Amino acid sequence: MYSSNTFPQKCVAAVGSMTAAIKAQRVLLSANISAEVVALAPEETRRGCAYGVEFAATFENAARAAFRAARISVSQYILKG
Amino acid sequence: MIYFDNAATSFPKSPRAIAEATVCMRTWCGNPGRGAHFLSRATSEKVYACRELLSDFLGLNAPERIVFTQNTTFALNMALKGALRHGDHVLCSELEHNAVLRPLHALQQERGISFDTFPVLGRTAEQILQEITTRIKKNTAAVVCLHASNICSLSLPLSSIGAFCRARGLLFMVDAAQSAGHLPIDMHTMQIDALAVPAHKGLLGIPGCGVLALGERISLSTLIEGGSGVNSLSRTMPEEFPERFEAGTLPVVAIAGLCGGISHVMELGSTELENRAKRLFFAARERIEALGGFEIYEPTAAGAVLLFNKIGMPSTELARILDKAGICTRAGLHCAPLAHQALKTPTGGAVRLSFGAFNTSAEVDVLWRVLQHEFC
Repeated sequence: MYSSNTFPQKCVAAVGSMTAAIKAQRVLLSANISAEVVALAPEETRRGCAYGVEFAATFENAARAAFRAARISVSQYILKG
Repeated sequence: MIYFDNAATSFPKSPRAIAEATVCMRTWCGNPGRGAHFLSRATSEKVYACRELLSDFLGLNAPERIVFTQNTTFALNMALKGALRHGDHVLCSELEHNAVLRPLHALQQERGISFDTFPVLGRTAEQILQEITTRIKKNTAAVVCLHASNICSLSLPLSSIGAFCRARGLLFMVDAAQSAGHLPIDMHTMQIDALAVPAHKGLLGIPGCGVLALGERISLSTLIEGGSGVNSLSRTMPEEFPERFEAGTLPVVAIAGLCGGISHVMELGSTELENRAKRLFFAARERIEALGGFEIYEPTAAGAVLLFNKIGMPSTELARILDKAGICTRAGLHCAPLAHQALKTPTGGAVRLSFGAFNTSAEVDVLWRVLQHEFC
């Protein structure tokens, strides 16, 4: 349970490639969710060296739905404070 | 110089392709998918935009299933060697280029794959399907064929063949090297599983890039493995498209040029480009026939390519005469030996005129005057 001081601000959806990250960003932008492509350090993900798309954590559910509809495979969601 | 060798590569290069390639080299030529800095991200965005453009242009609607290669031949090798399994049987047309025939031959030697050709000359779509039907075996896995021949203007009925393959659970792979840019291609309606196109011919881009567009049904093993920019800890290529098939650095400048070329084709209009080619074909055919002493192969198939010979003269000699007069053509077998056999050209092949977006009727007039001067 997060307190108001530690509630995650950002969520990163880790995907399998830069192409997937750009597509994911476009999907979120189409859903009016501001998003940015980011690189993930090898220690941040299970597979090492990955790209993701970062957006406000409050949109996590909406993002998940958008990715499902667009058939974008997300390997993990990483919450960041 | 008059350039009638657009089947080899388009020339002159589209000003749009040159401009886009130049801007790329000057302002955004990083390595896409290799890092998080501004230039790499900007390059990745531009490359993705090209995938989107191609995906729309080819009726694929899936940018991630656009795979960039170094050329069409590589794309075809990737498709054939990635999809076919030991003991598979393949059918291909009698007009195929060595870009299809040689990989099939290699697969025959290495993987026990067998293949047969089906005739298409002088046949309707229904008759072609009948020819395919009579050659299907229990282990037939795919039909592979060109869309348009590189030595005559014959094109194959892709929609009919695609529907036929889909109904029988066969993969349908298409070599669109000579058609992309001036004949309509829609992977979805034509039910094409794998489509190979070059950047530098009808799409008016520059050499160094080809495209393999992959439908949803096809599953390929990788042809090459290497750095992909992700999952560095893994010993295998990533599962995700297109990076799975794009080991190493992409031909970024050629991709930029391709974007410029496609936008130029879209502005000119593919239909208008094909109609222009047909007008030049008819003009050249009429003038050559009027001279007498020449043979034109498949004269009724009008389009961007006209194949002919001066009767009794080796094709290379005719091409040399034209070259000295400043007219670029290609003589010989054009990497399509079976096609020449089907068209019954002499053992030395023939001379090919291949018209492009920037050829004019005035240039056909010059060709006629040169032939007239030499032979009449």
